[in-house]
Amino acid sequence: MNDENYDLMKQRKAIEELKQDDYVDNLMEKAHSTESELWVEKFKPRDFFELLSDDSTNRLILTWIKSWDYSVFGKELDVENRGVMKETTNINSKKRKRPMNLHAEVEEKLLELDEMNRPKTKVCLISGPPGLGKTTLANIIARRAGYNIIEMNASDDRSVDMFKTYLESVTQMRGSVNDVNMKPNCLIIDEIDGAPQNSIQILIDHVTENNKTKNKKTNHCLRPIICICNDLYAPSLKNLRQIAMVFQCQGISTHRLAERLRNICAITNIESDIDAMIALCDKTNNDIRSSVNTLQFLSKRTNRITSKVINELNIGQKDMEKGIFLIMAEVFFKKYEKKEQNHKNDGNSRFNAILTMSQNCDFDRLIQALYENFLFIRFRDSNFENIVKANDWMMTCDRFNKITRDNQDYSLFRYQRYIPGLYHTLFSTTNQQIHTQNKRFKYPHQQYEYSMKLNRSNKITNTYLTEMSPSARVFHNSGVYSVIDLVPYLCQIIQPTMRAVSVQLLSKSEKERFDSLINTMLLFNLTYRQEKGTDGQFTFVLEPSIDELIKFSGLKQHKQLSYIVKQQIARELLISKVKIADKSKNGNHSASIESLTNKNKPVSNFFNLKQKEAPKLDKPIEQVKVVKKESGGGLHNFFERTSTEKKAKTSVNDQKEKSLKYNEGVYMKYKEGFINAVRYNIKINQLL
Amino acid sequence: MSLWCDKHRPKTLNTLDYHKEQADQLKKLVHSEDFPHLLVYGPNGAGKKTRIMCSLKELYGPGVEKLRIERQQFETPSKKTIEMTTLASNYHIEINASDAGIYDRIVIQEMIKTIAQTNQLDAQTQKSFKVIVLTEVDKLTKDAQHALRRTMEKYMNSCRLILCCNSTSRVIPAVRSRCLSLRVPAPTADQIAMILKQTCKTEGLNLPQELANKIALKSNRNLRRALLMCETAYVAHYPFTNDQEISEPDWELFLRETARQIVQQQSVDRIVQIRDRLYELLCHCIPADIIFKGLLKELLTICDGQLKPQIVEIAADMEHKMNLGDKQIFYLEAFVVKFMSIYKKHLEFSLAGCI
Repeated sequence: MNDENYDLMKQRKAIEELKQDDYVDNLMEKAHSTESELWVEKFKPRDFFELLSDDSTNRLILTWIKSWDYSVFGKELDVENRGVMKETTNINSKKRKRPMNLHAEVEEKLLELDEMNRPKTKVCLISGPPGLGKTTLANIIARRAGYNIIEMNASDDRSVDMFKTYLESVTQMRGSVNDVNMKPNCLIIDEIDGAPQNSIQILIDHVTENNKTKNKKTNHCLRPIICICNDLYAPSLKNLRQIAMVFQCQGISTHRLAERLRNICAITNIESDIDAMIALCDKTNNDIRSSVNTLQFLSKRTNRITSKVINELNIGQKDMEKGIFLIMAEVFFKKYEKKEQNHKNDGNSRFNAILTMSQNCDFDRLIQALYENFLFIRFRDSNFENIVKANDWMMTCDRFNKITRDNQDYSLFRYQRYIPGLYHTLFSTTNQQIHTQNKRFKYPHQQYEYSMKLNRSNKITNTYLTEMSPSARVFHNSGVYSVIDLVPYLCQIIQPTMRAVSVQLLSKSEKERFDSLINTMLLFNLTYRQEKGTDGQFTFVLEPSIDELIKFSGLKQHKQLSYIVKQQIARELLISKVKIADKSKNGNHSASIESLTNKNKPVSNFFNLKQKEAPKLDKPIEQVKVVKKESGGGLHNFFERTSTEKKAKTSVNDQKEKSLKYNEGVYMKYKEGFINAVRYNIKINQLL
Repeated sequence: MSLWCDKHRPKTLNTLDYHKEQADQLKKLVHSEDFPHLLVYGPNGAGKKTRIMCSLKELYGPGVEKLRIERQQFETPSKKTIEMTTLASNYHIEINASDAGIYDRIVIQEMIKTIAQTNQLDAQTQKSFKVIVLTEVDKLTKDAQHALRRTMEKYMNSCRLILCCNSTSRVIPAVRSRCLSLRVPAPTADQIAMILKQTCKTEGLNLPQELANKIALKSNRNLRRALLMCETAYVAHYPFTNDQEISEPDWELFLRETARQIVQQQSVDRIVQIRDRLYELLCHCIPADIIFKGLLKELLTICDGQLKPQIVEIAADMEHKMNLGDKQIFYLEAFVVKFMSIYKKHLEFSLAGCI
């Protein structure tokens, strides 16, 4: 067994070397072709083995596309075939033993077929930063698996209609007649994160086959679709991510890229060494495209490339987006390095580096993040001079921002970008400690939270203002001054010290105070709304909740009325409102009626409460019919709504309490068989 | 009418409690043939609105007290609808155009013009013009104020404007010159105390003179607040006692505590705490200029005489910058930090002097 393995290994090594040679030969050929061609194109990998990207990912994608074989080519996905793939795997990743098992699992999943012998996941989504060779990878794999590649990228029309027709034609039809090979199609959708959401939704619908026209048999997705994106977490991809087989391309190894670059140099007769190539890789962040392009650029200048040349180079740097946290770390922490290290670490270059870095991110958020975090850095500043300075800059920046937005004049933007640099010079330390709770930078949230809270307060103020009765509103029209002057006192005035007894038991002076309290609340249209707390307890909440407006943390709370008193007030308010509505029946206070009809809830509440007391009655009343006569005016509506709730609940006693002045006759129908079944018309008026 | 400050509000020019001379002038103005545009300004709780309503009553009779709330919708050029709530009687309409925020210009143009263009129905029995009361004019944008200028002249025949604001400094001169300016100064503490006593008397309560004076002092010459304070005191504890606690708004207490904390300790950690407190104040709808004013007032009482001019200057500077800028928290905090810096330096200096 071991011997066999060894033999195999040897063989494979030989194959690999052979392949390498092949590649070099290929390149040699290409080197003599036209000069105008971009090297990126020229030295593009032509075969699976020439790919630079991570082998295990490559292989998985290949496995995935191979799993289509049965449904597309009708081939049995036999063991042999699998064996071949396994072989390729072993060649490329023999050093990594452990992840193999993991990959094997994924592989098993990949090979699961559905009832139509297609793989379970019909789409694969390849993601990764630009310049890793994702597009190349997809192309090569598809070609290797024997497909006719149809590529669709951001340069094509990707409107919903186009997308749909394209999708269907590609995945359901064969290539045109001219196509000699009659290869099946494979759709590669490049840069899918830029496609409109609707188009992506169509793709999803197509793939998951939950089309509305389900009766059409042809609407099946029969061909593999490969999607490529840079940002896997783009919002538009959210749904696709769930149904697709996601492959994340990791960064490629510097060493392999450098090796490849050296090969290219050798072919194009450029003197170079591996250090220079590694420097180049560093400079471009292991971006294949960018490094090859830079190399081509350099080749025009010189025939000898050393690391010095590359370090002095100003081009080839990509716009790499860095996260806010990284930039913050860069701004606030000075890395302590030895002096003999290169010029990279002096103040000037650091300053510049920060400026460039901060240009490529969400600048407003960065500013906010810096503002919210700088106080947690241990910097030396005994007299706050640095903070004062930073604040001055902040204010200037804010003003610039406003002017820019007001006048749509963006020329001032260029001055803002110095702020991160300034923060660096003022606050950066070598002491990498942050004095927050979890010793980490905080994501900027204060401003957002503040605006949310402010919005809430504004909403409360607005409802409070609109609910207010006109006569109160004349003198308390301004929201701001209400909050400053009126509301703090109003909240206390409506919560007097009161005995928690029934309204009937109040003394005369107490009753007067109670009445005036009710009046005040009516005037400002405040009510108590019953609410069930999280602990299941009922509480009465002021509505509109102006008491929220004056609550500050760390101050002693004003005393609250007890539950019972609040309940009484709420009831009394309700009764008074009904009375007012009744009085204004002939007037034109339609506004007050409107506000009443909106508050149906407390009405029913009140009657529910009353019902508990009802069992005292020994005459069961089966039904109370409210016979409505036509009554004019806006009142009609109001009664129509409440009467439905009152049915079957009202009792004689209740009606007394309700103090509704019905003009309509009230019918009482007693259950048959009871004695003294009296039947006569009474009016609520008589009960009051 | 149930709050004292509403219930006992004078209804006619004759029954006003103070500034009687001005009331007489207003009366003459109303009865003269040409009632001009008015610009009523003065501090909060001085009685601007009371005087306006009294004048309107003098103009049109008790009909102005029958008020209704109307809602109107406007569409901005960017297709955003804004809803305006107005308060109107048959004779006048009251608009708070600054509710519309940056779209106030449209409100001014659309609404006021349509109102101004229509004539009174029955010109014989009533005045020939109606009145538009515009509140918080100082909060209008410059654009809106410019939109007002022409309207004021053009429709002079059919409508008069009464503008109401706290300070004329933010009203453009062009508008100011078209109006008769009327300043309503805040009542003196004595006047407030007198009114408090009188109010309590009509309520059938006995307010000791000492407590009345105390409330008057605490109210900052704001009559509305004085009456509210008095009523709160009554609700909290009656019969009145001289050493009764007079409640102040929570935000003032909070602001005072903030100022105290600033003076107590000057450190980076403290700045973090102060920032949180400032945010809390702001999100309770307390305007930043009032925070500035409150902070400054408290800080001035605590700090040394030498520093006072410097600190006032800084506060003024920051507030000015804030009005030009956007994020108020920056400016408030910048003021706090600068104060800390100065105060700390001063403390160290004087300590060194002592040794």
